Amino acid sequence: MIYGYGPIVSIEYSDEYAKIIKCFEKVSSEDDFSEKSFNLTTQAIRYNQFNYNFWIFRRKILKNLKYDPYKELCWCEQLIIENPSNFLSWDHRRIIANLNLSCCTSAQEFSLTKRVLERDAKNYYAWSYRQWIINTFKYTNLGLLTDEMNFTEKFINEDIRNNSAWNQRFFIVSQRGRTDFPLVKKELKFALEKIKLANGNESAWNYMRGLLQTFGSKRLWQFQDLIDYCEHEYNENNNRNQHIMAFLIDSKIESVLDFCESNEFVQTQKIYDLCNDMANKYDKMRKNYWKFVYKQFYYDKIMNRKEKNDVSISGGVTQDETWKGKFGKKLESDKINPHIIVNEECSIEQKIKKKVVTKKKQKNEKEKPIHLGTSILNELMDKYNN
Amino acid sequence: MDFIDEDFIDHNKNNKNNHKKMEVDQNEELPTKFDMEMTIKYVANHGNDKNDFEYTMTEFLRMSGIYWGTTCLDIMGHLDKLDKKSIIEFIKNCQCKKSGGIAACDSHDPHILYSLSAVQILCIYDALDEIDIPALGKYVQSLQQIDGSFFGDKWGEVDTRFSFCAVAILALTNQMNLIDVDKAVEFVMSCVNPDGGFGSKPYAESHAGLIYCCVGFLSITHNLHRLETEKLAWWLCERQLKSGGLNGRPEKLPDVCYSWWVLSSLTIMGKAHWIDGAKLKEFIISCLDTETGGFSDRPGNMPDIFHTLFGIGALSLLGYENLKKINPTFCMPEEIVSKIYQAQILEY
Repeated sequence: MIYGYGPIVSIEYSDEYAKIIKCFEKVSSEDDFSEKSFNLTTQAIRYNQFNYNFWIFRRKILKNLKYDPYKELCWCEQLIIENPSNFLSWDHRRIIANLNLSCCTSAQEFSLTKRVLERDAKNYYAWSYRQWIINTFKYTNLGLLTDEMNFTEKFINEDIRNNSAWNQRFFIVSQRGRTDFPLVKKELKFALEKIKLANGNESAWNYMRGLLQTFGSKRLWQFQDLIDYCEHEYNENNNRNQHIMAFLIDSKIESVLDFCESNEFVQTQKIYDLCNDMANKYDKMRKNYWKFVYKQFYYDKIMNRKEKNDVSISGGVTQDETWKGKFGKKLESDKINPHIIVNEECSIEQKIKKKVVTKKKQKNEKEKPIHLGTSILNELMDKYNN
Repeated sequence: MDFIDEDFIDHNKNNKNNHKKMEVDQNEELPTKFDMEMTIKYVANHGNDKNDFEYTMTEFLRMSGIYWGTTCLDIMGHLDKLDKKSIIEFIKNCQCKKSGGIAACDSHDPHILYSLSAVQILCIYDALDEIDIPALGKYVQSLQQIDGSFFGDKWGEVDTRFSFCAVAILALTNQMNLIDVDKAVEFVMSCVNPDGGFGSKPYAESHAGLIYCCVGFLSITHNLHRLETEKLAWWLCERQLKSGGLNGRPEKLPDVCYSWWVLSSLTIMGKAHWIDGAKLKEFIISCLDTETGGFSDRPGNMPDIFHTLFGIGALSLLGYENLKKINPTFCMPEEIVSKIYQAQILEY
C-alpha cells in the first residue's frame, strides 16, 4: 500500500526498476524528447504508475514528437482499467483527449468509465470523468443527459446507497436548468420512492433536500407526500428511523418559522419532544447537534416575533413582560446574523438561565401562573444541566 | 495533502443487499491503549532502510512523507529523533531553479502538493529562509487560472486541493498578495454542493478530504461566513458510524484519516462537539498496530505513516494527553502556526 495510492503491484525486479530510474533521471535532465525516452516512460509507468514525474515527462515528449493519439488513448485506457484509483492516468487521458478531440467520441469515453464502474461503482474519478464527457460533448449530442439519467438509475437500482450515482443525478438536473419543473417534480417522486425502500439511505434524503432547496423553491413542509409518509410511519408504524425524525423536525421548524402553523404551540412541543428523543435515545452520538437544533429554533422563533412586532409568544408569556424588562434591550441591539447566532450558542443559554431564575424568583414573591412557554424552558434547562 | 486512498475502492462492490450498511467488524480483540513510545519508534525509523523496495517506489512523494513524519514526531514531542540538517539539505535540493516550485524528490518535477509539504517542514524547523521564498511565491502565482482555480503543476488538472495548497503556502510565507484571492474564493465556492459540502471540482461529489481543503481554504482567507455552517457540520457529523469511526462520504467504510479531515473541519467551524469524541478516540486507538506501532486505516490492517499522522492529529484535536496541540487549518503544531499566521476559526 503506497500511502493510500492503492495496492502496489508485486514487482520482483527492484534492480530493474532502479536502472530505469537512473536512465529516466538522465534523459529528463537533458530534455531528451526522443522516441527512446518515450519508450522509457512507457516502461517506467508499467513499473510504477504512481510516479507523477514519468507522466509529466511523457507529456513533454508528446509535445515534441509526432504521435498517434488513438494509440496513446488506448494505452492509457489499459492503465486505467488496471488501476482505476490512480488519478494520474485519468488526468493524462483527459489532457490527451482535450488536445485531440477529433479522435474521441463520447461513446468511447463513456464505455471506458462504464467498465470501471461495473467493478467499482463508487469510483470518484470515473464519475467525475463522466461529467467531463457530458460537458465536452453535450452540445453535439443532446441525448447525453437523458442517457446519463438512465445510467445513474441503473446504479441506484443495484445499490440504492450509491452516493456517487445520486450525486451524478443532481449534476444532470443542474444541467437541465432551474426551469425544468416537470423534471424536478419527477425527481422528487423518484427520491420519495427510494426513501420508502430504505429509510436510512442518506443519499436519497440529501438528494430530495438538494432538489427542494436548489430547484424546487419549496420548503420542506410543502412536500406533502413525504410529510404524510413520515407522519404515518412515525405515528402508525412506530418508525423511529433517524432520517424520518430529522425530516419531521426540520419541516416542522420551517413551518413554524414561516408562520404556517395553525397550532404553533403544539408543533413547538412536538419539535422539542423529537429533538429530545434524538438527543437521548435515537441519535445519542450526535446529541449536541440535536440540542443545538432546538436552541436555534427557539432563538429564531423569538427573533421572528420581534421582527413581526408580535407581542405574544405562544403559551401566553408576553414579550413585554419577559424580554424587554431584563434583556429586551440587549436583544434589540443584536444584529440577526446567522453566524453570530452560532457563536452565541452559549450566551443564549445564559440568557435563558437568567430568565428562568427571574421567573422562579417572581413565583416565590407572588403567585404568578407559570405559562406553558416558561415550563418548556424550565424543562429544557433541566435537561441541559444534566 | 495526498489522500487519494482506498476510499475510492469500493470494498463492497458486490453488495447487492441494499439494506446493509457499511461497517467494520469489531469482534476481534482490539487495542484500547495508545503506546506512544512504540509509535515514536515506528515514525522515527520509517524510511531508514534506503534499500527497502517501498522506499524506492515511494520516492515520488518523499517530501510529503517527511512532512507526515516531522509533524507526527513534533506533536508527540520527539522531533529530535530526525536529522534536521539533512532534511533541510534535501528540501533545498528539491527546489526547481527554473520555476521556483518544489518537487517531491531531487530531480523530480515540481508540484504544488510537495511545495506545501516543504514549506510546512521548514516552518516546523524555523528554516523558511533556506529556500528561495519569492521564487516559490511566483511559482504558486503562475498556477492560478482565470476562473480563480489552481493547477497542481503547469500541465495541470484543476482540483480544490490545489486551492488549499496555494493559499496555505502563501499564508505561511506571507505572500498572499501575489494571487487574486477573491477569484480563488469564487472558484472554491462554485464547488459547494447542496448538502453544504465540497468536491474536487464544481458538481463533484462531496468528500470529507476535499471539504477539509475547502474549509481550510476559507479559514486561511477569512471567508468562513460563506459556509452554510450548520448544514455542512451536520453532513460531517453524519460521517460518524456506530463503531465511532468516521467515513469520507455516505455509505463508505470508516478510515482513520477521516478522523482528521472531518474533525479538523468541524473544529474550524466550532462544531467539534457535534460528534462523539470518546467513541472516535476508541476507534482511532483500535487502529493502532501493537506490534510495530503506528496507525492503519482501519483495525487490523498494516500501518503507514500517512494514517499515523492523521490518527495522531485527530487524537490531539480530541485533547489526548501528552500530545502537543495541533492547528486544525494547517495540520501543523499550533505553537509553530500561531507565530506565523492567524487563520479564522469559528468559536465553539
